[in-house]
Amino acid sequence: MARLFWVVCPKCKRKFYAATIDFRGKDRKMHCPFCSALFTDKEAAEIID
Amino acid sequence: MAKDLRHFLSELRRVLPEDIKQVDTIMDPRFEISALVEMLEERNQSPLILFNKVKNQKGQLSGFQVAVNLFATRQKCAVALGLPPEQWRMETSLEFARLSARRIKPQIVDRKEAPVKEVIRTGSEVDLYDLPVLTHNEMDGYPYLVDAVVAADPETGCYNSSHHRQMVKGRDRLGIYMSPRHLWNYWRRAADKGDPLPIAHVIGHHPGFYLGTEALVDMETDEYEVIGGVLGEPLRLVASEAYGDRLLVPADAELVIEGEILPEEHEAEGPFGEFPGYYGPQRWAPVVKVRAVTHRLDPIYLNIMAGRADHCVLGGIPKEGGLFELIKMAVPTAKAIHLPISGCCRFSAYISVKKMAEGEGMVAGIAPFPYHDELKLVVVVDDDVDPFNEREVLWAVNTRAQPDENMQIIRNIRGGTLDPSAVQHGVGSKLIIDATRPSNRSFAERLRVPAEVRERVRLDWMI
Repeated sequence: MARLFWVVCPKCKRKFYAATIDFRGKDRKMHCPFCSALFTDKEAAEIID
Repeated sequence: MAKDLRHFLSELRRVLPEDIKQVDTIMDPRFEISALVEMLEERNQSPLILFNKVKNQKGQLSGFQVAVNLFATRQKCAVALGLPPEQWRMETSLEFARLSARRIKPQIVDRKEAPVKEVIRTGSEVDLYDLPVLTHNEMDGYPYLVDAVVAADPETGCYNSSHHRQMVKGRDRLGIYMSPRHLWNYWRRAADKGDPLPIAHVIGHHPGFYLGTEALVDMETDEYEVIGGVLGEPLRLVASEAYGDRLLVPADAELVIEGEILPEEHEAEGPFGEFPGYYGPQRWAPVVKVRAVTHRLDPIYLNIMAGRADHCVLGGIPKEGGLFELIKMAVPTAKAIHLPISGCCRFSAYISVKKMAEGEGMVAGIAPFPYHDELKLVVVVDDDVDPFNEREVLWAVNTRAQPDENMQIIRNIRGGTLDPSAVQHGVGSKLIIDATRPSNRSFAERLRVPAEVRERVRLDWMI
């Protein structure tokens, strides 16, 4: 499986994970599967690598 | 009459009536169907379930029946391949290998003869939220299509069919995740010229269509011909609404969603619950613009239950027959192979051999690895052990193998891309356990009662 990191949504504070190669340091918007918020890794409430 | 999902359901009702259940309760496609399937699997039950009343994404009754667990037992797959359900072990895998080696050219039919054209929605009429698309697991978050995606090679016109997760992002918008295999190759070659790649999502066909989709073939093989081989008759095709003859779609499907993978547009997609029983992470994935939705009147929405037995067995049977033929080239006395559900029908293989010489067990164990990247553990047993009986296989490991003598680890070799334990993406290690008895020294005898006594004694003596 692609290396992943856990991310905390800045809006609903729930946690999900994304592929490191696709989103870390790439300025791409992730979307929260729980509340649909869009945010980059810099905007996340927390990142757990 | 052409083989389709309804043909199969009627055959299953005839030969395995106890394996079909119906639900009349109104179901929410968001988690409720998954919850029922999960609760049944906890009881080791995987019947085909027809949900008669399922809501769409707008909370209204969708008008679709939803069918799940079509592939969740080997017995149902045996019936799909034209075998009696009792022949669910190696007979099913070998029959798949035989059928999928045949090529039967498809037949192109007029729109008037295509049941999938009974209802046609194009342009602004397209609305994926009208469909009962399932949200499977909690972290998926969004509804996902999980059936087969078909496309024509942008240069040769050769058809590929493969399974891909597709996230419903809007009324006419999907996110699609592709490993760098055939469909991805088609899309990249189209995208390099700035072109979108037309695709169609095929929902609700005969199970032979989806088993044929899983056949191990090269990119130059037309998979509509392979599927024809598995069905034993030409697959009937019809021109698509959005792309005409440039994209032919199965005429006997219940539902076809036509669209195109855009050349450069990407968005976040996932997480999504995958076959190993874990979520695959959110990816940066291409986007599909949906152009048309066509379906039958009173349609059946077939859903493969992602990450469950349905998903595992569908991927396992098509591999077993092909791998067995390869193993037999190395060890002619190989008897059977089984990719057990405990290994998600991908990661583990149990192989039985009639050992003729020392070392043959290890040869049989090594043979399948180059042809099946996801395989991690191979256990080789003697032919007195049934590889379809996991308790017997583990008994053989415990009583016929020593870790220092009969096990080998192969390191730094290509591995599965969805294995959550892999430290390096797509690279891993393999373990072979040779649990065959040694032939070069005396070995303990397995206990058994005399055969003539077993023949005389009957179970129905018990009261």
